[in-house]
Amino acid sequence: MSYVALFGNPNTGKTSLFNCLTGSYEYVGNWSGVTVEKKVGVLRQHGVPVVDLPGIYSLQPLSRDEGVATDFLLTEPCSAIVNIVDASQLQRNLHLTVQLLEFGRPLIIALNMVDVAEKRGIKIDAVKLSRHLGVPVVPVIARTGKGAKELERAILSAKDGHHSRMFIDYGVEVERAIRRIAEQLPDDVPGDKRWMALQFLEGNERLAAYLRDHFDLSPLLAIRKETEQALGCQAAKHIYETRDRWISETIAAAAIEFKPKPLTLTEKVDAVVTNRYVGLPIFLALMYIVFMLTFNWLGTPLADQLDTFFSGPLTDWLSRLLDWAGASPFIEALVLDGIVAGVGGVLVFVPQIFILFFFISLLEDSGYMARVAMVMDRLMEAIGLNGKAFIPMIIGFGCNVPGVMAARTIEQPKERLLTMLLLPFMSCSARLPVYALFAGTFFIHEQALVVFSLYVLGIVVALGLAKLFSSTVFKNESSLFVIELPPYRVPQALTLWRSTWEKGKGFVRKAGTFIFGGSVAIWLLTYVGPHGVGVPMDDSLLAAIGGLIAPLLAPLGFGAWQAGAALITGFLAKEVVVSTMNIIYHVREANGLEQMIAAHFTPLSALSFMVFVLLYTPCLATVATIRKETGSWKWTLLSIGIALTVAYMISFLVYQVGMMFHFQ
Amino acid sequence: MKGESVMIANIIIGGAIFAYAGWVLVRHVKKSAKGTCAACHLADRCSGSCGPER
Amino acid sequence: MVLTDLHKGETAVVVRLAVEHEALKQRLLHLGVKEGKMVRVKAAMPFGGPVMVEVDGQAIGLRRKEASSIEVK
Repeated sequence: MSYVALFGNPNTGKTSLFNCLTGSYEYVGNWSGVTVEKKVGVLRQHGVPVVDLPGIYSLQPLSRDEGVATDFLLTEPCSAIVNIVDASQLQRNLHLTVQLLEFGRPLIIALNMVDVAEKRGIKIDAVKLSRHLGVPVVPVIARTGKGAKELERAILSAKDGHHSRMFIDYGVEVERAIRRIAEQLPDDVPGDKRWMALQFLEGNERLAAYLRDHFDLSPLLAIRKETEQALGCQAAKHIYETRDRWISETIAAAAIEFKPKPLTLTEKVDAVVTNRYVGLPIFLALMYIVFMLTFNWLGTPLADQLDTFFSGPLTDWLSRLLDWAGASPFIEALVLDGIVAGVGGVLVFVPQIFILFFFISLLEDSGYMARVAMVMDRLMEAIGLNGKAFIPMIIGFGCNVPGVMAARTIEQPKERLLTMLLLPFMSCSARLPVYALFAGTFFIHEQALVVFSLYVLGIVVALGLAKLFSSTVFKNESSLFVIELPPYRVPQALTLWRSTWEKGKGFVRKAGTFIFGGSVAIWLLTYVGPHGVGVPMDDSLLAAIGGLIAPLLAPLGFGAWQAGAALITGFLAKEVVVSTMNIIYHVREANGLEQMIAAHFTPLSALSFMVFVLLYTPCLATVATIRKETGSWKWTLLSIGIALTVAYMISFLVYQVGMMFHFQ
Repeated sequence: MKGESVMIANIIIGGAIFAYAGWVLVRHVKKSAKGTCAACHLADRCSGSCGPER
Repeated sequence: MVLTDLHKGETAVVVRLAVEHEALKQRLLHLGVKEGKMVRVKAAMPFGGPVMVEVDGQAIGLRRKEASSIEVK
């Protein structure tokens, strides 16, 4: 199968365009490195497969996500390349375009953000640019979908056709080297031989690794060395400069207007949020407001109404329906005490989760994300990471799995590994129901503050461990940080809603599938005992399983089998902790659960329990992702081991110190 | 006669619940154990490179 | 003079990228920070944190240590 591949610099709107062309709802945001894996879709009505790739500045990858794009060119066939070019940053965008033109496949340029460019005083003549580059140029506004139809037509007519005749003369020495290298290359290499020779001269490591699999590289290396001696500088530098001059001429020929002026909105906002003194306090204040809205002001009242509905009218209706169908007491108990308790107990927290996701989406879409990374960099540097690691952490608040993936944008392998190992300490949305339940029972008035502290505790533990690791295991590795700060944009209501929904949908879907199944299984475990069925809960199988680890947990303040059972089931997915608790303590009346929990926990043991749930182990999906991304069981098991140890130690500390001061 | 149809209703409801629960549980564990791709909603259509790091 | 000698709001021309780290140097080139380019310091984070510079209307954040190895005039 031959793909149409989307290439372009980071944050130029490739994924937005991909969504327009294929009708998908892929994850978009306003910072560099949103897409870290290739995504496949199909061009509407035409059945042509389209692939979206992570953004790159050049075909020489510096980080893992960029490697995905280069690997694609080397290993997968493509019928055409769509190069998305940011019209407001033409000079640097065209560096990639030149390399793609040299690759020698049919190419179409999608000139994106023409509106932003015009605001900045830059107007491009698409026809002239097209003539100069020898390929079709289609102006688009990917955010709104303008120009997508024209682009689609251009793709269909260019596909599998001729490629551009564009040619840059790199000077006598380099041209000679290109000829000599091309002679040595086998005939079945992907892309044009000239392209391959140029990439090799530039020192493309991925390409060199690819060639090394096929033949001995030493003659090629010798040619590069000779050329560099003749040039008196690195071949990469010479090639870069030649291209840069060529690009300047192209722009001079194609730009109608080129009087750059600053974007006033971005300037104004940046003057405040990246201010020396108030930058960090503003970030913390914004986070606090988000938590107050999620837990105190808006989320909890909504959740309470849902709870009243589930335990009141819904239970009544279901109960009547089951009576009408003549259901046996067994079925009635299964539905009402198992499914309604387990699934409903998680679903009531949908309002909080959607509010949190809404704010994460807002953060992603506005352009503030990259600023947060910069504001946090000083602190991150002190602990041996860099500010970019903060972005996966924020994503991890939604779900740890994409957070671990997002660490691909971090250039230094050590920093990336460390970020992935510590990411599970970021409190994902699945842990939120646990906090909402316990904090809502024991800390009614301080709910937002308690939950906020838990999130902060997760960050503090992760950063503390990062410091520990970077000053022991990973000593002497340099750290680096450069980040692009995109212009701000006012988020569109539709985009914002869609990205909130895409995140929240997973949670709702999980409630209908896995949590439903889990609830049935857990209820069955409470119904069946080692010595018969329909036993009292304390004699059930679940009690026996929970009882196994309960003594271990006693020093932490929650040594009952109920807590042990809930924690074990939580490994599959953390929401299930709440489902299990709901089923175990289920009473068929409003507020019954909170009273039951209040009877089994004290505020102190509840706090200790929440801390343990925050830290204890990444869920199964996260474990599998860490395994995949690190490629090593050793690091994965280490991540779990650290989590369990740290969780035990901190919960122990919280409970024992609390007891010492007679907090109950 | 009445008792029999109630029996059948019970078996159908119970059977449906347990069958569905078992199916989603198995599917969830299988998918999560695969990691990355399970979290991606394109997983079904994707022929992509969710492989381990090279 | 180096980039970190500039005050907030000041503009200068890059004369030499003396950045040691090869990957970082590549990244800066990709972002358009190169000899002959006008750069403007937009902000500096406290406690020796990163500086925010603007090149071609593109804002970039980079660490003070690296910024101090970019010579300007």
